[in-house]
Parts: sequence; C-alpha cells; structure tokens
Amino acid sequence: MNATLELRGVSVHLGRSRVVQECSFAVNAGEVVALAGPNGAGKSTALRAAAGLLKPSSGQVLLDGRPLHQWHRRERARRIAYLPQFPTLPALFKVRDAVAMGRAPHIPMLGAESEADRAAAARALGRAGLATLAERPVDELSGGERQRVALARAFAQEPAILLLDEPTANLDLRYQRAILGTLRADAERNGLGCLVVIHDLSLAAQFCQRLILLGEGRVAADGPPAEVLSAPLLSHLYGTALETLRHPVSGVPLVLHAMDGGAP
Amino acid sequence: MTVRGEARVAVAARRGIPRPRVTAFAAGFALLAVVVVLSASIGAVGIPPRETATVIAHHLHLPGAGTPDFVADRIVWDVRLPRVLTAGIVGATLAASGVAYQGVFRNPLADPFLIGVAAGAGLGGTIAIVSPLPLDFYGLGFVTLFAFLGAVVTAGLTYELARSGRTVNPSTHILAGVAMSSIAGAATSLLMMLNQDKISVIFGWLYGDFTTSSWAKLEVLAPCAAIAGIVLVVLARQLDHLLLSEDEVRSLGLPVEHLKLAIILTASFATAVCVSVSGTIGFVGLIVPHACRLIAGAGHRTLLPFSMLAGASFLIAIDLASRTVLPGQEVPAGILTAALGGPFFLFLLRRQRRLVTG
Repeated sequence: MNATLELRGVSVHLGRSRVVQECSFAVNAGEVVALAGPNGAGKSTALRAAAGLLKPSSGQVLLDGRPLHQWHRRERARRIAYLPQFPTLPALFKVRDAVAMGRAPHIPMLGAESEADRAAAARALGRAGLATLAERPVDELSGGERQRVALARAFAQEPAILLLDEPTANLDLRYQRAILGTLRADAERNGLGCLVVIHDLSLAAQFCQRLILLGEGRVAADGPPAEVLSAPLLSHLYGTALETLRHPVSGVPLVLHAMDGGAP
Repeated sequence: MTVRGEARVAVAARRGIPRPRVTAFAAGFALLAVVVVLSASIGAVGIPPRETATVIAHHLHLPGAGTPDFVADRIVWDVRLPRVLTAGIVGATLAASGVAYQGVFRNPLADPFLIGVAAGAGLGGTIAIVSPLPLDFYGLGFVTLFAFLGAVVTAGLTYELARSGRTVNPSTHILAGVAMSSIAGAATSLLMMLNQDKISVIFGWLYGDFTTSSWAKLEVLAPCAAIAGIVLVVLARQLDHLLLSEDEVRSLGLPVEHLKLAIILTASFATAVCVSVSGTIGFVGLIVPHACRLIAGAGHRTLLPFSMLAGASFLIAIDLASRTVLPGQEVPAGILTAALGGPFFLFLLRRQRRLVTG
C-alpha cells in the first residue's frame, strides 16, 4: 500500500489571490508530516490541492509519480483519504453507518458492501476508540467524539496517504495523543503516509517525524522538528515573541510564548 | 480500544439487517393492506371490509378466495380500487421525490411543492396544452413531457438562485422556491387567460384529482412511478454520501455532478408524473419522509423504500378523508395535506438548525 504524494512547484489561486505559492514537498510512506504556520498561511488550501480538490494554477501534484488528475477518481480515493477541518456527519445516522461511508471507493457504484467492507469499517471503529459507540446516533455525541467518527471514516477508506486538516483541534489531551499515536503507529507498522495540519507546534514535534512550516503561502522550513523549530524563525513567521525549550525526557522542542519578566 | 469492544463490533457487523427494520417494514405493509381494504370499503355504498378482501383476493387469484358478490365486485374492483391505487402510487412517488430532493440538496425542508418544482411542472404542462401539440394520451404524453421539463428547469433554477459560492442556505432555497412558484403560477394563470377555449382542459389537468382514476390510466402511471422508484432505490447509497460536503464526496471518489443530475432528473420526473395525475398535492414529500426518519433512521437504503410504503398509506388515507369529511362533496386532497403540512413545516422550520447536518 506504500505511496508517495509529491507537490512540485504548486501554486493555487482562490479568486484573485495566490494563496499557495510554488510549494514543493513530499509525503512518503511511513511518515507523519505536520503542516503548520500562522492563520492564513495557506495550510488548508495546500492540503486541498494535495487531495486533488483544488486545481493548481501552476505546478503539479504527483501520486506515485503520476499526476493526480490522470488517476481515475475511484482509484485515487482508494489511495488518498482527506478529512476537512469541519467534517460533516449526517444527522440521525448511527456511528457505524457514518463510518461505513468511508468504504465508498471500494464498493462498486451500484453494488452492495461486502464482508470485507464491513470488517474494514469495524476495524476503523476500533482504531478510533468508537466500538462501544457504534450504535449511537451521531447527533448525541460530543465534539471530540464526532471528530473521531470522521477520523474513523477516513480510516475505513484504508488509504495509503491520509490528509488531515486539524484533526486534534477539538480533542482533549488524551485523545490528541491517542489519535496522533495511532497515526504514528500505522505509519511505522503499515507504511501509511500522513500529512496533518496542526496548530500546536509542541504536539507536532512530539508525534511527527517531519514538520513543514508555511508562511504567506510559501514553504518556510521543512525538516525534523528539532531543526525546524527555532525561536528566531518562529518569532518572525508568527509575528510574536516565541521561545523554545527541550522536553525534559524526550528532548523534542517545545514552543512557548516569550515573557519579559512579569505578565505578558 | 479493548479486545472485548472489537469483538462486539465484529459480531454486530455480521448480524446483517437489524431486526427493528424488519418489524418496521412488516408493520408498514400490514398498515398499507388495512388502509387499502378500508378505503375501498367506505363510500356512498358501504361494503363490509371482509367482502372487499374477498374481491381483492379473488382478482389476485389467491388460493382459498371465495366468489365475491357481483355488485360488491363492480364497486370495489371497477370503481374504488383504481382510485385507491392511484392515490397510493402518487403518495409513494411524492414521498420518494421528497426524500430524493432533501438528500440531493442537503435541505431537510425540500419538498417538490416547496422548492417550486410542482409549480414548474404545472407551467410546463400548461404550455403543452395551449401549444398546437397533440393532446394527451391518458393524461400522460406531451403534457407530461413538458411538465417534466418544467420541473427540471425550476429545480435547477431555484437551486442556482439560492446558491452563494459553494453553499446553499436551506431557508434561502425555500424562499427561492416560493418565488419560483409565484412566477410559474402567474405565467400559468396568464396562459389560461389567453387561452379561454382551453381553460377547462388546463384547469382539469392542473387541479386534477383522483375522481377520474381508472385501470387504463394506472397502466401508464404505474410503470412511470416504478421506474422512478427503482432508480432512486438503486441510488440510495449514493444519496447517503451526498449528505456530506462536496469536498468529502469527491474525496470518496464519487462523481458528484453526475449523481446529483441523475437524482434531480429522476425526482423531477416523479413529481411531473404525480402533478399530471393528481395536480399539485403539497407537503406529502415533507411530512412522510420526516416521520419515517424517526422510525427507520436517515440511511436512504431503508428510508427511501419505507417512505414510499408510508407515503402510499398516507395519501390513500388522505383521499379517503377527502371524500368522507364533508357529506355530499369532496375536499381536494391538496387542501387536506396543506392543512396538515403547513403547521408541520413551521415546526420543522423552528427545529431546522438541528436538522441541518453540521
């Protein structure tokens, strides 16, 4: 299932403004890559272009070396799953049925789901920690639970590349760790490639092998978190004074607001 | 994730169709049978329901069916049943198109009547009647074709008018539908005024009712309704997916535009057929699917057939009421459904925020 997704000099226009400018980076099998940057840096737009949902105005997105638009939509959907920032969970659907929607690219257009599809959906429920909620209507769930249902739907799609827009935004500390830990384990064990838009740089540093920083639509830095997360670069990029220090146990960088003596 | 939890998921996944749904469908069929027999029994001449059942069983060649009374047979089989079945088919078809429009437009308030499609079909049919084209073939011919075109055009126009960028606000969609209904209604009235010689034909078609039902007309209506129903049931799983945002549907590898087009065309065809047979009967496509969602869930593979079943019973019951509430005269079915549907719509409007997926 190993795959590589590569952006080569991709620019994207939304209306008249160029939101993403000549971005080049790749996501390889077995990697969890964080995509970070200030608000309006073009993270979500770059992610949607990577998913083939926006057409680049120049440059190319390549899946396994072949331009994305040359892939048949179903083939592509079996390789790449995309989870938007605000996923839709249809009202009055049971958790199980909402998750099973992820099987769409594996089921013939007018056919019925197979035993394998049901098993994949059940595995996805388990991986997102939802097995006990399977029969509940999605309307009754908390914000964090809904986020996990959407994630389970992406898992059920069984992609080689998973593109996630702020999957941890609504989650408490335990589930932030559970979700990112699951992605990391899947990457290392099964060769899943993940690109995750994430705002919390310390969290990204703990769970992602690589971190890409975007600023004004351009790639400002791309590398291991320990190299990318430097106080001067971050302070410049975010336009606010930031400091980094090391995690006392793991040594990964943590990002904090700089304090000049008393209160900020 | 515990091991026990995973095991429970695996067992549940193997279980197949959940029992509550089987019960719901059995109850739905039983209700339909009862409503059909009752509706065919009640009228100017009362027939005992047992005798009505005998007539139906006799004509269906059911084993053990006795020989029915000659007069009862004439009344039930030749007069009442065509009307009952027509009401049932129209009810099922209106409910199906309501479910389809609600799904494809992601708008819980969509109904063939409210989004202007019924009025568009009315205008289309009226244009065909005043044109020099040959008139109808049992009420279904050029008139129905034009009604279908009118329905499709209004469905598309209303949706485009309400769209801003990638999103359509459900309330704006309904407002656009009301505006389109007014425009189409005004144009229809104008055509009637300009064609005084054909006014009775137009009026009879536009405000049609079930009194002129016959087996011959059913032979045309039934296959049309069946085609629309089958296409929608086949597309039920895709209708589920269309409840997601466009980005999500596309990233699942589905041809969003083709699916939407297929569903809108089918639902508009269904609406046009219904308008051709019985005039505009509003709110059936709103009341029935919403009630069914509470019983059968929102998944279209169950919701769609269940709504059709319930829609049939509903409109047969409405038709029965329409010819019995006032002694000696008929109250059009559309008036009764509006009396029920208006308050129901207002109730939904208040609850809309919860019903719109989010």
